[in-house]
Amino acid sequence: MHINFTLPQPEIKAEASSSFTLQNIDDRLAKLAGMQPSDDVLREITYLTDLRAREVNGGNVSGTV
Amino acid sequence: MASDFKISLAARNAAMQGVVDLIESGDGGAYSVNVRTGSPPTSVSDARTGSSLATIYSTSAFSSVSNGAATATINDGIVEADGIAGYFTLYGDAINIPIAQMQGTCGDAGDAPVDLQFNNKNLVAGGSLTASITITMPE
Repeated sequence: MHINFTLPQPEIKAEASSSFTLQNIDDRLAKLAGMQPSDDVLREITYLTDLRAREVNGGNVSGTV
Repeated sequence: MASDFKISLAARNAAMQGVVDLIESGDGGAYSVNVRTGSPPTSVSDARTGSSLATIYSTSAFSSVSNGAATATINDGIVEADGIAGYFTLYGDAINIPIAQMQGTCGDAGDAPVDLQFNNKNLVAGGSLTASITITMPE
């Protein structure tokens, strides 16, 4: 009798949260303003501009898509 | 007859404990998670691709293994560069010579399912980052 056994790959469930200050956003927007206006750049400018306009809690802004 | 192979809970716990012990085998048991842009390499042993966005370090050990699973919260670090989180690598021996032990995809709710789901995958330099992880050895 012979048994072949391969240990299964472990599964992962993970969540991450990032937060940043208004200054972080302004620094990033200034950098994006100097870049070629690709779809990705324009999308990120739109997202960060909207994020900046939201309520700031304790000086940190939690971003959600 | 189709395959229906399973391992016992004791075997799952032992396997998971072996993984946790390997991750925590370095100096002080420190481990870390590095987030980079782009898609993950084909294998954990391959060179890392993309640009590094953030590295966060452990401040506590993994939980005890239970039901084949172990959990960890990693939050000591900041975002180093702007960019879109593409994949992560979990390193053991974070203080001395980090050794890649696991890797997976990153994204946000719009990219689900991913291995590490962010509230916002667009990382901004200077910001903080926290990750909570549950690893499970299946039957």
